[in-house]
Amino acid sequence: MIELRAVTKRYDEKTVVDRLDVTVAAGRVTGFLGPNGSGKSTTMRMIMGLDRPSAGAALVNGRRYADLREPLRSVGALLDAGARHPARSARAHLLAMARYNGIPARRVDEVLGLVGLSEIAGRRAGSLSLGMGQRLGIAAALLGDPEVLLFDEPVNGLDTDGVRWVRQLMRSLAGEGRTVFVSSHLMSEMQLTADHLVVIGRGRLVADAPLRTLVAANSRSATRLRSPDAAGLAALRARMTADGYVTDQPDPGTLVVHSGDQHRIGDLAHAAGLRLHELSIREASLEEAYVDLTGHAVEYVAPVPAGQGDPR
Amino acid sequence: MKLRTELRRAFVAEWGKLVSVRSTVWCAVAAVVLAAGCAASLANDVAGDAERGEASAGTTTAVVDVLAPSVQLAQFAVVALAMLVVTSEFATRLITGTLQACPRRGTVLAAKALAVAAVVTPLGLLVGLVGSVVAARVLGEYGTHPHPVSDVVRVAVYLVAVSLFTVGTGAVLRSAVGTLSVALVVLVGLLLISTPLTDLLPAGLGGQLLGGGDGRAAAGLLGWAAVALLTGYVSLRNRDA
Repeated sequence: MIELRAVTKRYDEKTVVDRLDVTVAAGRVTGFLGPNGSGKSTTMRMIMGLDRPSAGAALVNGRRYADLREPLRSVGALLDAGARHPARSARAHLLAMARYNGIPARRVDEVLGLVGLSEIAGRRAGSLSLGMGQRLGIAAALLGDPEVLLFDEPVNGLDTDGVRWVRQLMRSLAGEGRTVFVSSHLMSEMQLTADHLVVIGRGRLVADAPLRTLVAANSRSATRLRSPDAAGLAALRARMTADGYVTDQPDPGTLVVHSGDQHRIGDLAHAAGLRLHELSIREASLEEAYVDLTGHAVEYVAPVPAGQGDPR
Repeated sequence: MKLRTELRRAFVAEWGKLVSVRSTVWCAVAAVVLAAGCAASLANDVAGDAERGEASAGTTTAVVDVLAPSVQLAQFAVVALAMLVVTSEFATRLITGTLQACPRRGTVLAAKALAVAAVVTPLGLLVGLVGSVVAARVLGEYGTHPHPVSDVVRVAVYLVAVSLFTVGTGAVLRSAVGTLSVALVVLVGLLLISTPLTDLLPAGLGGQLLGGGDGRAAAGLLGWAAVALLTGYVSLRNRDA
């Protein structure tokens, strides 16, 4: 379990993390989302004892990271996959971390196998590809078979197979009852991986809720109806607008209802005796929910050139 | 877990890191080659002067007078070795991984210092031995070698002190360029400026130690190393990694 208690980080006048109160529970994957510069990495570094909070506390299993003995046995983290000496072999890199915690060399070979790097164990870490480096970082996190795992952007640089592998790994680690806290900027990936989300913006907590709740609460689900009967469709639209639905008719043969209740909408069309060629639902995505949540909290906004606005 | 266990494990880890990169080997080789080359060249000058009769008849030169400046040149290979143990971790950001494995920063620094000392002690003896032998051979009849063993030991003590000083400085400055610059100024540059304090600064103390000074020079130099390590510890503990 990870607990953030009013944790705050200030650099001179700038507050990067502002009184975050979050508990990351065991047994599920908790996604950590926020725009660039919102304080995600700083928060993770404070949890790992690398940066000292200006106020408040970041605790792992009830203790500060610096107070943990053999810390790799309770917490594993991938914070910066590039953090390795380029001239040292992948195996020697892991061996040094293992020795610090009294973890046997056998375990080093085991985790190398687990992440699929056994064959390049003797290669200089500087010669590894981005994806291999990411795998090596994940191997380091797994070294002590820890109960708590943190991953900062774990799928960066991984190919499709790698991304799926990481997703399954996270799911299975959480399934074993471990605490999995993972930051990512890939919303689609988070939507597939996370059970619970912590969203921050400008260092402040924006949301801390189950994935489903977040997506549903910020719903932009829509149902699209297509019919060869334009007049019938227009009649249905009038009827639905009267019932309080928000509707659009991009062309005479298409009606978009801003609601995800396709059963009710289908029944209404049937009651109107309307011939339908399509009734499709467009689920709200996490990305949309996220944009709604953090729109005001984005730190660096690039102007959108005229005529190239959001294609939605 | 006992602090001793923690330190022993940390030492084994840092020792493994030190010997698993080729730069350590290259620095060690460079130190020996520089010492031998410089000793041969200086000794050759001395012997040549004597042969041409430019020195007064019957003058001999002690091996240590050739050895000391040779070590003062060769020390920079040792400084590089010690510096890289700290600064390469900041340059590659590996320090974040190291501090995850061992969040007690004092333990990390102590383990690094011990690993460096464990490498530099035998290396220093080798540098001293090779430098002495080369100097003695080239000086030939124009050389004297009154304290062959203690000359070698002084070189080892000097290089261990200098390498520990560098580890501490590296922990404060974190950058290779800064650390090397400070080492260059403090270990050699200050010899060029004569002040009443020169004899108490690392360069002066080092010159005394290599030239045959007593235990006070060694203690003084090791004291400077301790100050550097302590400052490094305070900086590591208080600053974000």
